[in-house]
Amino acid sequence: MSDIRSPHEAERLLTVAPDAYETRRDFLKRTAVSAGLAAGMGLVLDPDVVVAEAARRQRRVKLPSPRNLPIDTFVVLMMENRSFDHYLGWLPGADGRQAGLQFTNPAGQKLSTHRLNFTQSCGFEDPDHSWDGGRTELDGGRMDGFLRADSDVFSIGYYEEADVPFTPHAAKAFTTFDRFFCSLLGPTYPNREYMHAAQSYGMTDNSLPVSSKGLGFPDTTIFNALSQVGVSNRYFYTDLPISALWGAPGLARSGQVQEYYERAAAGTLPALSFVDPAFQGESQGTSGDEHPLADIRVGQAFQADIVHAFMSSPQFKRGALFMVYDEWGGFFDHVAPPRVPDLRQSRTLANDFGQMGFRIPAVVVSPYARRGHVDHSIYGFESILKMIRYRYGVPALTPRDLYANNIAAAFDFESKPDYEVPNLPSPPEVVVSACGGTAPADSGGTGIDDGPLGAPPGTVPSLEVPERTPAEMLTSGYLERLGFHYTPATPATMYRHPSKLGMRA
Amino acid sequence: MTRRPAAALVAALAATAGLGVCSSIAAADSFTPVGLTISIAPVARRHAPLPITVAITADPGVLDGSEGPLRMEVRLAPECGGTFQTTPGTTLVNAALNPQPSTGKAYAGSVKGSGRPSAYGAQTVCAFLEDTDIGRVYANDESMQVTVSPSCTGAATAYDRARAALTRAQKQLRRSTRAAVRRRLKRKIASRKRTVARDKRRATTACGAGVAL
Repeated sequence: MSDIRSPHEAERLLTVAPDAYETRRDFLKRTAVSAGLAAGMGLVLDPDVVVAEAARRQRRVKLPSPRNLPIDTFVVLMMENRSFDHYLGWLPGADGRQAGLQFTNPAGQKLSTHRLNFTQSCGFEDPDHSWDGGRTELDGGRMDGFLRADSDVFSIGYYEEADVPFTPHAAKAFTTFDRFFCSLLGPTYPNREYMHAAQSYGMTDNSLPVSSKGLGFPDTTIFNALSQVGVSNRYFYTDLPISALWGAPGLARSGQVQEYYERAAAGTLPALSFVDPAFQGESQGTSGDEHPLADIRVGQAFQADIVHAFMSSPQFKRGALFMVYDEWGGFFDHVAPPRVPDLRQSRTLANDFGQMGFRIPAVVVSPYARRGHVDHSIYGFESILKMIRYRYGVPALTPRDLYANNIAAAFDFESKPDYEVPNLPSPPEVVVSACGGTAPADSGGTGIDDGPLGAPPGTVPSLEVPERTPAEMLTSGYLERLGFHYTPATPATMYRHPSKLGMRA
Repeated sequence: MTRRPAAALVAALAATAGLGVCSSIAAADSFTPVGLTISIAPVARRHAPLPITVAITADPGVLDGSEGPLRMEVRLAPECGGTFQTTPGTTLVNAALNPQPSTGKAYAGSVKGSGRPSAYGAQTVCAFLEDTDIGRVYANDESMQVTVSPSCTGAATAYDRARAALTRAQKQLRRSTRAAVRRRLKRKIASRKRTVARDKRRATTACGAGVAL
């Protein structure tokens, strides 16, 4: 057979049989290209459609000016202690992983992630989500230390879509974030402090702020910043008010969650509302915040009520409700969080407040949220603060929210708002019993968030208490000293409809 | 703002404006202290160079806290990680800013790069402005997507092939001395030119204006 790669032979062939020359060369090339393309593409769209769609995806829509941003009412609902993969790793279109991951325990055994078949975690340890434990789990970005921290196999368990009564429905109906990291690689209070103030005042654990000057952190919160410019705001608690961490000013802006329900129905919610669940009873499995050992169905029912109250409020049309969790709770996740600029950043990871925590489930409910959408941009609690600041012209609280991405970018302000309320479930009534002696009571018990570190030198000293739990706010006398009258949460005080039996009365 | 970085930024923007590429613009201001402006074609060919320009602007002093030289790092990936290091994919840019920001001064500069996408489909441009030592992220952008298109790749490959065939025929014509061959080659070149023009139109349609053909 002649070789068309030879120039002489090619010219001869071209002279005597030009069609054969072309046919053979073209056939070989076209066959190769066709085979490659067919293998690679499967489906060929109209080129014009591909180009137009690609250009559309790249087009960045400029945000409306702050004054024209059609969101007047912000609500932030913050639950407790769940990671993204643990709760939403199954979500289509999101970067989640559940089955098939393996983690090595201190004994060198490789254990696989597994589906959880219970909703109340009696008998298991509360997974380690302390400052140090988080760094062990991070393992220099390898994300493989979840069983080497102070945690058992519960920490590598996960729930599938059918296992969690409400969050999956909201996640599929509205916009879910799969790069939403909690602000700090640490426990509850510091993360909630970041949610309120874009800093934890140097706190790495759940210490209470007590100093010679009095009780509470300085009020450098978003609430105070909004008040300075005449914008209404309110904090709603169910039993223990986190706002008490800012002392008397924090409590002054606080109300019980029934007030939230009433104001939502009346259309009189303030411009900014933070809503918290019932924290008491975490270590007995009876709290309403989804924190281990709690039965997650109780917190899910609470979330459903808060969200339904918002969606049926006249303020829904110009509102946005963020459903978030305060931190990952020691549960596995596979995406390493970034280090970002912070008021207390340090080169040393052990002292770096710029190290964000692991991903948490985060959903935004709004007529301007894209329906059934997963947003992949990097956000933290400070990103919500940044959107609120943008809307109301408030200066940055700290470098953290100065540098953060504005979560307003995830909204669709170009299309017509979708006022139709999706058919989200109202999870069924649940009666929860305390764990049978597997965990000590909150008063003096091990509870949650046992950050072993004290505050770094130069920070606000904390009360001397042996354990670090939200219940300490009550048991240490902190709330009493602030003049707060504590009332345990009951179905009547927790739910929008008192007939819902989520907790023991 | 120093004169040179500002000029570089303007030049980068002007250069990309004529290339049919799209930009994500987030210029620095008091609310967004560090802005990244990414210019990249919305459609790309597989295994072909994909150029990108990232313009960086920063308010005075906001980059002063970096714990090492600042780097612009960009990857094309199905999913961005939380950092450049944990983002898998094709590296488009991995370069230190030149010049580095001066203490207390505003910054404007740009970084150019290129990479060859290896997989088809819509992919995200994952851009991170990080310091070299710690990897602290001063700004990031995941809002841009590039579609590595089979139809663009196929059409552009066909166009490349047609051009090569035309070049070969022209070379053969230059070398050929026999009159009969030259006549046939001239007809062939005319045909090839029509094929090239047709394939160029097809490639332009399939790839948009941003892909170098």
